[in-house]
Amino acid sequence: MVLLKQLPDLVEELEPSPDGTDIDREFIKFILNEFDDQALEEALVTKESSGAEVIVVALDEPEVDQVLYTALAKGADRAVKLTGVPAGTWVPTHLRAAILAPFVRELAPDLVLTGVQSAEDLDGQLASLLGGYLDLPHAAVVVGLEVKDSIARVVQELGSGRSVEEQITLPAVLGIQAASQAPRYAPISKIRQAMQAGGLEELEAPAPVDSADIAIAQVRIRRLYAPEKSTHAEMLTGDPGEVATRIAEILRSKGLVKA
Amino acid sequence: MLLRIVIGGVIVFVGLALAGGRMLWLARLIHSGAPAPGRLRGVGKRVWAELVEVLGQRKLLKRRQSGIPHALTFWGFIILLFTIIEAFGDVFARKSFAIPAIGRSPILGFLEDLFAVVVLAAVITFSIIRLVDSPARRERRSRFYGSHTRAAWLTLAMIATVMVTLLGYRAAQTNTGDFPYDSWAFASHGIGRLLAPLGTGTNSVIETVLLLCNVAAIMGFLVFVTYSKHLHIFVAPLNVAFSRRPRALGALEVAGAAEGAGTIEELSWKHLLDLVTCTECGRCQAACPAWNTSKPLSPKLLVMGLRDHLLSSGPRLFHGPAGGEPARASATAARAPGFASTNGAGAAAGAATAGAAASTNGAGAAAGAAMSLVPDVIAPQVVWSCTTCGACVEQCPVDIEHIDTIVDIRRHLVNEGELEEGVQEVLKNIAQQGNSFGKSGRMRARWVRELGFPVKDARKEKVRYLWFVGDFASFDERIAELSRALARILSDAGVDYGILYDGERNAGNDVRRIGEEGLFQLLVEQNMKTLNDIEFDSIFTTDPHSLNTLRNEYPAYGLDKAVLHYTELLADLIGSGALRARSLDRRVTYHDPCYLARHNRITQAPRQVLHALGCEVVEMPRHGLNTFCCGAGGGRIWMTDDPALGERPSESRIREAVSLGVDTFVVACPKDFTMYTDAAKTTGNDGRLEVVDVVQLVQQALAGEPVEGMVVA
Repeated sequence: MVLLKQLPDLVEELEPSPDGTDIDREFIKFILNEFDDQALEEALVTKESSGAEVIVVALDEPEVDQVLYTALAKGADRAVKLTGVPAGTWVPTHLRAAILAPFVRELAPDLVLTGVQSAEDLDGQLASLLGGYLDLPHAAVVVGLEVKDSIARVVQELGSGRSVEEQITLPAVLGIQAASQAPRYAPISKIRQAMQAGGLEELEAPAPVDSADIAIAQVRIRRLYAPEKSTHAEMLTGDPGEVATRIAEILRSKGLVKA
Repeated sequence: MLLRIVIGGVIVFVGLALAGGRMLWLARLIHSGAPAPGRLRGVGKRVWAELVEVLGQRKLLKRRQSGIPHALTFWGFIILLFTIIEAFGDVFARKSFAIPAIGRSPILGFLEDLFAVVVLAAVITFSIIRLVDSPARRERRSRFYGSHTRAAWLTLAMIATVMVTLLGYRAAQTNTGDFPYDSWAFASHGIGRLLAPLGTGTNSVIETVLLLCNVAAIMGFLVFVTYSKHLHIFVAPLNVAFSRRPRALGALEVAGAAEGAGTIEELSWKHLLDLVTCTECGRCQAACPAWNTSKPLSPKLLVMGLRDHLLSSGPRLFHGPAGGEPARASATAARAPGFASTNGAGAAAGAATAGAAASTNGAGAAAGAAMSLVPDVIAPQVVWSCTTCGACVEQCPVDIEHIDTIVDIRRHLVNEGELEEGVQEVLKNIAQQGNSFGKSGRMRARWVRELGFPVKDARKEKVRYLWFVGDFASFDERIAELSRALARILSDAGVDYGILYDGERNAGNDVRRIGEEGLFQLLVEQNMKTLNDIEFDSIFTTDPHSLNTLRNEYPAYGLDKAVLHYTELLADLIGSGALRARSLDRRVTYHDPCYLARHNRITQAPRQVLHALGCEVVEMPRHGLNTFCCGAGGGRIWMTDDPALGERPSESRIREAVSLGVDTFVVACPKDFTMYTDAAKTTGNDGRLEVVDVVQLVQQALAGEPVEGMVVA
């Protein structure tokens, strides 16, 4: 099972909404979280190498139908859109995990894959929260995956060029950083064929997990601000000595070094 | 006489049986192709094509040196058909046979002799051409590189044999009294006088022997033709008759489904006929921008590779697959060396010819499973090197439709997701935001903000001209500057125009030529939805590529408005006096964009503008319909260039311009502006050659400003 998530296309000019508590989502385009695309690719690769059914699942978010049909065109077997969830607004990761967890439990897949992070979840909490709710083993920043019987051999990136290889007994939840190959291209004609064939399942989302965590995680946004325009870069010229002196001055004036 | 009949009969029977059997087999092979609709529509223009292209030899005569001897040989063969009738009559009827009614006419006798001599002279000329442009010595620079040269020499030898035996037996006939013509048959009588001293008996023997040799040579040639590239003498008239008219340029043919051709039989039967029609003359190769800059593609070698594969696929196509996996593996292995390294001209040529090698090897696999066209028969680099500039189609004397075949193969690759990652990104951007720049579609008309005056929104009010701006002219910073210049010129001239703002999406010309047919359809639907709702008289575009699809392909989806290029609009404005420019007094050269000149025959309008601006246009050797591609077409602009594969076409072009001694290189296409300002820099000519758009020159001429250096800083 691959969990997909829609994000505002960052090439759009994002602006705070009139009430200031969210970005203005009315006129912008949405695209699939790029890490989720990696997760989908890894699922398809796994399907091709070890045989599996691939189910893609997404909340009813803007332009999500297109993404689900694209997944079907690429080779996913089932596509599920969970309806009855907050739409057209920001879904905090805790809430997303709480909505998805009962559904995942119901279908009981052998393996749950999702992107390691997203622009709205830079901490990459989704995989671990889900693992927590479902009481399943989980791993994040996965850059390698091999499934044999009910064992997943997983390579996790630790940073600083180090990585760890481990074995996880399935079922498990993995946050995918990179698939073993670049996400495949789905030609528009295949996507449109998939659309014509239908086959998108719309299911009412089960009641979210009732947990004290969620209440705590239900942060309320008071106000969003557009990033302040920073001043232009200053080019330092002159010989290395002068440049070094100038750098030291700047660092000192910003209070970054004391001396 | 009986001996003549027996020997002649055997020769003719064997010859006809072999050639006829082969022709039927080839017909079945071509029949196995996919449907090619509309190939019989418009009988009038097809008959006209036979007259102009076949009888008139129009395209062959573009190259005088070989075209004139070819035309003479072709016409000669038609006249000499009479001598075949006479030879058969001599063999089977009576020794002194003459064609009824015209068979003793001095004129026919003269023409037969004349063309026998002329064809012999042509054979000598062809030999000289082949020796001078020898592929052994000139390698890739020879248009015969990769062609079957031995078969070509054999062809010339056989033609010479037919002519020599013809003149020989006719000369002997003048001495035996069997010759039907008087002294107007000058050559026969001339040689006859030389043979006369041998006596009537010897001459009679010579007559019989050479007559039988002539018939044998003709029948031998007939059989040889059906088994060689010389088959064109039978199928070229057919191929011309079934070709797209007026030419296979402009719109693409989309005969099959969006899935394209993955195996040989998925190509349309017309494109299979193309393959067996190719006579390996190499005119396409000599004009190809990819081949001329050391890329792995030669249109000729591509066609030859596909043809060899087609011929070896006969058993499979007729008898069905019978498990050929091992053979397929061996074909792949045989190909490997050619593909492994693609650095340098030789290796690149290897990659292109590898297709032929693989398919020859694949003969064993022919009875087995279908080989994929890419990569089993043709290397992917070959297919993706094409800029769809149309130089090959423009040149091909037998009307082979290279671009249609290449795009058909690309469609299959795209459908399988087999395309460069960078191109995938661009296609996703176009699908998502409607432009190739990966920018928000809402920012498309941002360039108008700096104008200081409003540009009409054609979605909200009626306009006379709808300006289809295109991606480059909207999103590329430097080219947006040119768009603003054009907007100012048009506004000052009082032209009623408007744009679609964020309602415009990429027109899809290059998307379609990459082979993403589904995305093209989507873009057409989106653009047509906008266009159907608004009122305007005609469209003009900045981009020749957008112009091409709007003008030639959108009508199939309901667009019924004239589509102009901005240079045509400017020429009109100057012609009508709406624009009055002062003379710039510059010596310039003008680069014809492929999609303006070759695909849409627009060569005069930009030159009219330049002349009106007081520019002296010095033509490059490759100009007008023979223009040389900048290398950006067909989606190449989004693909990576392998620096190991020689210079880029745009660099070759800049060198061509510099050698003229002009200091201004005028373009009329946004992609050209990008490609050539870049190439001027990379070739170190940016100080010597200024790349300017037509619109900049108009702007200068109107403003009376000195030449501005916004180009090639």
